[in-house]
Amino acid sequence: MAGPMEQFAIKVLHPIKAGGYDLSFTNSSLWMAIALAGVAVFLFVGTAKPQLVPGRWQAAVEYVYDFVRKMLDENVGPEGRRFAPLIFSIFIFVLACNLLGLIPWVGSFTPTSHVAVTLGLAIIVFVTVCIVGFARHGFHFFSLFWPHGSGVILGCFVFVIEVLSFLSRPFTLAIRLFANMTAGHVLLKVFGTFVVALGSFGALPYVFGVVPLAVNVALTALEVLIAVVQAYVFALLASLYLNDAINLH
Amino acid sequence: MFFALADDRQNDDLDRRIAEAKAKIDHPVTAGEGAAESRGWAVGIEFVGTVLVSAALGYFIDRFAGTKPWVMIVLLVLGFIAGVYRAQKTSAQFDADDTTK
Repeated sequence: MAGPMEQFAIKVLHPIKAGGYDLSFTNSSLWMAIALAGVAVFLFVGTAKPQLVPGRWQAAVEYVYDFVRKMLDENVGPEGRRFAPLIFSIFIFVLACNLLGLIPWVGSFTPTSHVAVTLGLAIIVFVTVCIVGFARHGFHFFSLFWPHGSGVILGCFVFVIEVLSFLSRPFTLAIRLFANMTAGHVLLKVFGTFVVALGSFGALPYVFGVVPLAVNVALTALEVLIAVVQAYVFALLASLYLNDAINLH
Repeated sequence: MFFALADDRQNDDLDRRIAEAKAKIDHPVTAGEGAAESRGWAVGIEFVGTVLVSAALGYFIDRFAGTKPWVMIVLLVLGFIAGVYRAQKTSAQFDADDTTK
């Protein structure tokens, strides 16, 4: 029986070596590609025949896009709309990866349960925030770290703390998503193991296995919720960081 | 005084409180509470992550500057402060966001 951590194993499907780097096509790449294809199909079908009164697909696509745009409007302001494509892409990619990993399939894999993937996404956000901040404000961007109207000593103290909290952002952003996805999937697998172990137990097989199976059904519902909420939290924090860079408080 | 108060409460809304307690047993976790729990964890990770990142930063500065272990100790304490600050700020920002309400 497979252990609960085996689902996170990276398997090389097609080895590629380029300039000393290992760029192999793995099962993680495959599931990211499937997520992208799923998103593309969702968006293309939804916007193929746009109508004034939207059909089901179009309404779903519009709802997701409006959700992200509303989030940017509220947290960044009118300037935030030009970043809607970025935040929308991140949101829907994370959402698709999270949800696809929940399908109990042979070889099913959740790309967002690996720090490499989530940290990559977080660094995209971090670098964007830095570029936007310096492009808009130049070195005035550093005033983000300086408290308004304070003395020099306290100011320096707060400056260090603000810099530390700024530098830790990409890591907390990445670890949060990775930890949520990993913990949820381990829990599902552990209870799945209980179903098999208790189902083959003693004089009454199948009877005891029902209890962990019921728990697993409930956990799956909770995991769907967490998959959506974590995608939302990732996008929300990305837009809050952008707000700092654009408006400097 | 206390007994009078207790009596009043029992007479007035015992039925309502029983109904509320029963509703709680029937629906232990609603979608809203699950989302709130996720946000709570998000705030907690903000704190832990900031402390760890600060300590790691201090460790590497120490390694390159050869000042083991002082920068790490200082940054660990400052990271603690920054962590509390970030957790508080993130929590306030989650409360302020109306997108999902």
